[in-house]
Amino acid sequence: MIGEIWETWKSIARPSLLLGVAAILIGFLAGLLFPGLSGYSQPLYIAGLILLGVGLVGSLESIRDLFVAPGARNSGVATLIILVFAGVLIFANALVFRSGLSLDLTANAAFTLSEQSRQIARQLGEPLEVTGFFSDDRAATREIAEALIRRYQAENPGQISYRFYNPSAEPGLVQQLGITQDASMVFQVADRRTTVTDHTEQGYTSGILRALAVEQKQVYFIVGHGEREYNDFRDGGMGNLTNALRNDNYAVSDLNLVTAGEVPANAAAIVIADPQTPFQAQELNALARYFNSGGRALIFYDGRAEVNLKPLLATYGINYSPLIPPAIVVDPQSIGGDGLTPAVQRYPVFNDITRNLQTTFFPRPGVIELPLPRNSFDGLPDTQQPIQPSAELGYPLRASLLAATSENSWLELNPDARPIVRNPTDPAGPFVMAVQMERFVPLGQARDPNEPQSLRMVVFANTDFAINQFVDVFFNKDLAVNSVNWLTGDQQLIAIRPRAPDNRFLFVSQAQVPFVLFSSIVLIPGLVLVAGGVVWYRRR
Amino acid sequence: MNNVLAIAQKELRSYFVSPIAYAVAAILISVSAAFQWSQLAFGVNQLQANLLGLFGPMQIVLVFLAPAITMRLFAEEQSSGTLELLFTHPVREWEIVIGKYLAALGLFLAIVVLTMWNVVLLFIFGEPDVGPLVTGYIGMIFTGAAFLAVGLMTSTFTRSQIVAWVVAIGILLLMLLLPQIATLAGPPVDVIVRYMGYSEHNTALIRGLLELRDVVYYLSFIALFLFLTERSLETRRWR
Repeated sequence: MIGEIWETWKSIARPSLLLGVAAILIGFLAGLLFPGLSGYSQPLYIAGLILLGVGLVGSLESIRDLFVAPGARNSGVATLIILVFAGVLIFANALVFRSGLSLDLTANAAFTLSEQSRQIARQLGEPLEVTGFFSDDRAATREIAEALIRRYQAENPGQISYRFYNPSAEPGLVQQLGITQDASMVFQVADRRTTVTDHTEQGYTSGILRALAVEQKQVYFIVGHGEREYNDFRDGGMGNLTNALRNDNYAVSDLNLVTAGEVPANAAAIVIADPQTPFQAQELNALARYFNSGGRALIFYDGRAEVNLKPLLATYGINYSPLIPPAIVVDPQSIGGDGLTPAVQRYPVFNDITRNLQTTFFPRPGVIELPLPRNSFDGLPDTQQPIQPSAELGYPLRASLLAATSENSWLELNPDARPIVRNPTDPAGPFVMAVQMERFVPLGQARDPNEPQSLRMVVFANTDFAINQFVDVFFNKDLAVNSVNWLTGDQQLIAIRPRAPDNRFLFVSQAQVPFVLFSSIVLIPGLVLVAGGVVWYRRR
Repeated sequence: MNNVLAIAQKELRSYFVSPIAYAVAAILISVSAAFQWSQLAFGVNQLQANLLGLFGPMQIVLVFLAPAITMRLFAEEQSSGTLELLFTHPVREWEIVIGKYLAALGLFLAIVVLTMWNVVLLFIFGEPDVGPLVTGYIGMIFTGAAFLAVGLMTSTFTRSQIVAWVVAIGILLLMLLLPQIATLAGPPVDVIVRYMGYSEHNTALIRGLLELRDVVYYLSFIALFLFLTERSLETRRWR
């Protein structure tokens, strides 16, 4: 009886194989060509698989005979040879399975983790468990997620592990972890966990930081004077910078000093972003109290708008060139070729903010003047000297020059002249565009670890480099966010920020479309067919 | 090695006098270009400056076309009786396998070169990132080479070219569905099953990332099926 069934099964093996292939093919074509029929694809795949399975089982003897030479001593030897060979290949693949060895050929190193992310992964002191939930519909996203988490794991394989589940197959786990959205990744360290749905390096690094329960520091944007809005995503806003700060685990909100009266005690740093109307006296007093008690401030102000801020900043050694406006900075080393957007490629050595930076640029900057003598060799202020503030600070300050124009720059006193050429009366550069201020400690002397928190200030004589229109270009964002990291003491976050996606587009006009379609779909294949036709004709 | 090259040369010459090779080439070039540029026909004038439209569906296209290149290599010899004649020569099975494989690969590479007109178009109308183009083509060549190995194996199973073609498609479609099958199992089985599917190993390549594990996978895939082809051929010799 069983023998008859088996013989019958073998007889239908080949038709089953053919029908199975046909079913899968039809299912595939139906889904591809007729979206309305895509619902039939899966049942056809299942039917095809079943038929293939039936056919393969029925063909087992034939398959075995294909690989077992009658001349072999016995089929076991031949089978062993095949198994050994397969085993060697499996072993080779097992060796490289978890390997992160790869070559990233994208122009913006899209698959290479930034130094920031690699540092965070390497410095993990506790195991990080990552659990992904992806349905079949999100298979492509799942592959991207796995490729990305493998990059992190390669940095610290002993501490980072990951697993993927289909949410429909693990409802209990989904509920336990509080998953509410398909294509989610849960990052868990000990009993702390966070869910990530942004499958980018920024999203994952931020998720790791949140899972590590790194204290979320508060950054306040001062408002009430026509400043650039921190949650504005139009070209002139600073929404992109805000998002970058949030990706670094900062909480960002606004602060009106008139209503608040004081800078809150939980402020890790404040940001003054291009004020346009004057500060009231009470606000200036609140700022002074904050600075004198070890406050941390990031200031974007080019000195053009008269907002009562200059006298306050002057008490800390920050002055602005009185020639601007109407004068403008002209630097042959500029972006765009008009000389009005100085580009910076050289930075202070061993500086926490500018470490690892490359090109930054500053559209129409102001100029900061420091109460320091100039060096004879580069014309810039001698920052080895302390600045004695007139504020009630109690200690001298050290200035570090974060960005300066080139030695070929000048202040154009007649900006309406065309062409813009340097005149003998135009003051010569270089000029300081950004400065970092902190408590002065003589070289060779260590900081007193018991001293109370001292003032830190980063002042940019320019805002435009950090607005949405320009912040994501070159290393502008890194400069701005690194400044906040330094102000708040988060040096571990200072590294190259993950690159924005390199979206490149091409444009084909309507007149050009026929050329593209015809040449690629018709002409070249047609020439090949013609060649085939000639060959066929000759063979006749 | 001389035998390998002699066989490869002979088969390659046969390809270029066979209308089928030209038909396969024309279909592959036309279909891949259609996938890449089809949006233009629907009034979309701005496209991403990459070849994801070509590389993405290429695996599916090659499932059907790669076995068509290899289906005649052994099946035709078996049906015409020339395979036995070949066995009378002092040539080993692996030399026959490698020689024929190289011929199929040579034809495939010639077809790949003809698809590079799409690259030219990219540079005419945009500024594409070169890296993903390079890795995308590496992925396409690996995929084609792998599928050719499967087709070569099935060509040894039968005298019928059509059966060889269909069985190869069946095997490749089965492997294409491995990620879906993997979801039926939990970790770590699903990870292993998913890894065995070739679709998993093309995603990074078409985006600009060349991973060691993908290279090892494809080389293993090719080696395994060429080995099985050699085994199958040896059984034919001794029947």
